[in-house]
Amino acid sequence: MRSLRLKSAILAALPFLCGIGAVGQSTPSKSSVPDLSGFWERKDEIGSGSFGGTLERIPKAALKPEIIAANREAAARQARGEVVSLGSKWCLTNQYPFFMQHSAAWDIVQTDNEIVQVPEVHTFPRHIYLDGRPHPDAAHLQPSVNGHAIGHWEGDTLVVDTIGFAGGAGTPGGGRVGAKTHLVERFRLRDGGKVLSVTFTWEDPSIYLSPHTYELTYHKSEPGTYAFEEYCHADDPVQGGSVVEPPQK
Amino acid sequence: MRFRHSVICGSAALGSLMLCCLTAAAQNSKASPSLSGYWELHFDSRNVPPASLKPEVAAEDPAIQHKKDMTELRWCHFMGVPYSMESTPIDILQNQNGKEIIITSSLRSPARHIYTDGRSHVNPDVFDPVSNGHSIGHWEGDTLIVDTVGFSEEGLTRIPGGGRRTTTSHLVERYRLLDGGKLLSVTFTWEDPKIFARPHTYEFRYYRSPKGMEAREFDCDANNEERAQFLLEAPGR
Amino acid sequence: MGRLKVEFTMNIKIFALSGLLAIGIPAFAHHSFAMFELTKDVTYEGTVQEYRWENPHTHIIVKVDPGAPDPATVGTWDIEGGATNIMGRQGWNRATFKTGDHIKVVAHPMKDGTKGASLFYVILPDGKRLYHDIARPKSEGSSNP
Repeated sequence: MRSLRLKSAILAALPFLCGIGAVGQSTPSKSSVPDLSGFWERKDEIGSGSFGGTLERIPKAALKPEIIAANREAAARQARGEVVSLGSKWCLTNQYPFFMQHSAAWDIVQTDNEIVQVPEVHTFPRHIYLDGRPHPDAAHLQPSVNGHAIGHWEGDTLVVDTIGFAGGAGTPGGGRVGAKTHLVERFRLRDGGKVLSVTFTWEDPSIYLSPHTYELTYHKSEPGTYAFEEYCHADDPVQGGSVVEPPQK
Repeated sequence: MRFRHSVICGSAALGSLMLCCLTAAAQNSKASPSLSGYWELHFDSRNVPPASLKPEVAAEDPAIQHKKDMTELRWCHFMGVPYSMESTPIDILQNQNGKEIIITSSLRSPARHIYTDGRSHVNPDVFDPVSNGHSIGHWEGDTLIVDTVGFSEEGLTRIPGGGRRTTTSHLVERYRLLDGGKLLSVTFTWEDPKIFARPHTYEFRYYRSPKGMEAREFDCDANNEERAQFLLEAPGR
Repeated sequence: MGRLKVEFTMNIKIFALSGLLAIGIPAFAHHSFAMFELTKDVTYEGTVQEYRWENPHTHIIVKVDPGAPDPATVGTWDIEGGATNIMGRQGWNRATFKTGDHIKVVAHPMKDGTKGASLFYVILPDGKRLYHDIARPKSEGSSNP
């Protein structure tokens, strides 16, 4: 293994040693837009387990009164110890934007015509079409967990417009995602490409009183990182479990 | 079994750096073709000869594999390779910086990540086997060679032509455009000392999907009793 | 459409959460962390009885012998970590610990007093920390949301 790693390191250095962009010349794209590709992950200073607070800096969404009431009711049920959703026990699909708030890294692969975000959590890859196509009309729009996303570049910023969500997910700040929700995101690199800023703006007159905007930032994963498969086995009783005091010996 | 390119270049670098530089220059005298896009299998897309199986594998009761497949489907486990390569259209994205290729399908299963940045396989002592395995790739002229190890036995493990994916499986794929880019030929060669008497090779020819093709999401609900009964009970009851 | 009714007979606590309530629990949503004293960091130093590298949570069973600096930690504890992909990117793998290893772990104990805790990090012999996930103490963390 060590010798293979050595060979691999030599191979990786060859383009520089030779003055030949071996990898670069394999590139099929002549694009000059920023390279967003790679694995990205959030960082957090709140502390392990305090996941309810990780997004506490996100401004609260201006919600319609009936949505506020529904959120309060759900929170009260949870506070009473009720199991309010069996989604994770059944390994149900996580809907957008869940993976953008998760601890797990996600990967961007980029071409001129399409960008795909590949999350590790159990959901589908998110395809963002950059070839100028419009959203389908209402008759042909297929609701999906990631919605229908089209993007374009405005200078160094990727602007992504999404409709067609299946509905039922939530957003940081207490918002919700419905079948008529419209999302605009702006992806932009910072700090020499080490940080990716994504600004989300959610609009839906049936949910929000005004557009709900917030920013999340992601850090480039260590070089050489690779995708894990976050398997979820609904047939394994452990899937629904947590801490159990062991027998005291 | 290991990354052939790294062996070639590694050996050359140890002996003669110049030789490897020349090799790299020759390999990149023209840009690698772009495989990016949506691809689909048609009725005449498969040339799959029967696999030469080890006698003990050939003697296995096919009902065992069928029951495993149905159970994996019923519980929405990740389907993995090779099934994901049959669930078309697949979307191949060849990253513009040349360091990675992904292949997605409509399955709620992880995308395949093929690392083309010159890395070797992850140390098997710490790598957790997964349904897609760990894939590394390199170009030999106009052909993308993908080498995959580190498979688990999760998902639909049946291999076209016979046999099944196991933790000791090794897959080498060769991707090459045909007919001016309208077709994509992929030859799959499986080796596994537990399964095959000799390497098992078959070829799929994918048709490029019409312009405007989009990804689909075929969701999976393990908490659906009717679906579970359909998959687990004998048909026609 | 019918729904399966599955009753688990194992002695486990059932927690399940996703969808709407995952809104406020974005970093990991398998179960609520309300059962842990998240502001309390307790150091458990003992011997690994079992290291289960699995999803949805990795578990380390740690036995703390009498004579420990903190008498309240004496006993056998279930220290719960994250999913393997979360911990893998923090440097963990299936061979990080094995039965019989000495371990020094900092975790948040259960509120109800049972011997379980949510992993924060372990302190390796060279003083380096292996964290549960992307979370860091405020003194070490980044400022991004």
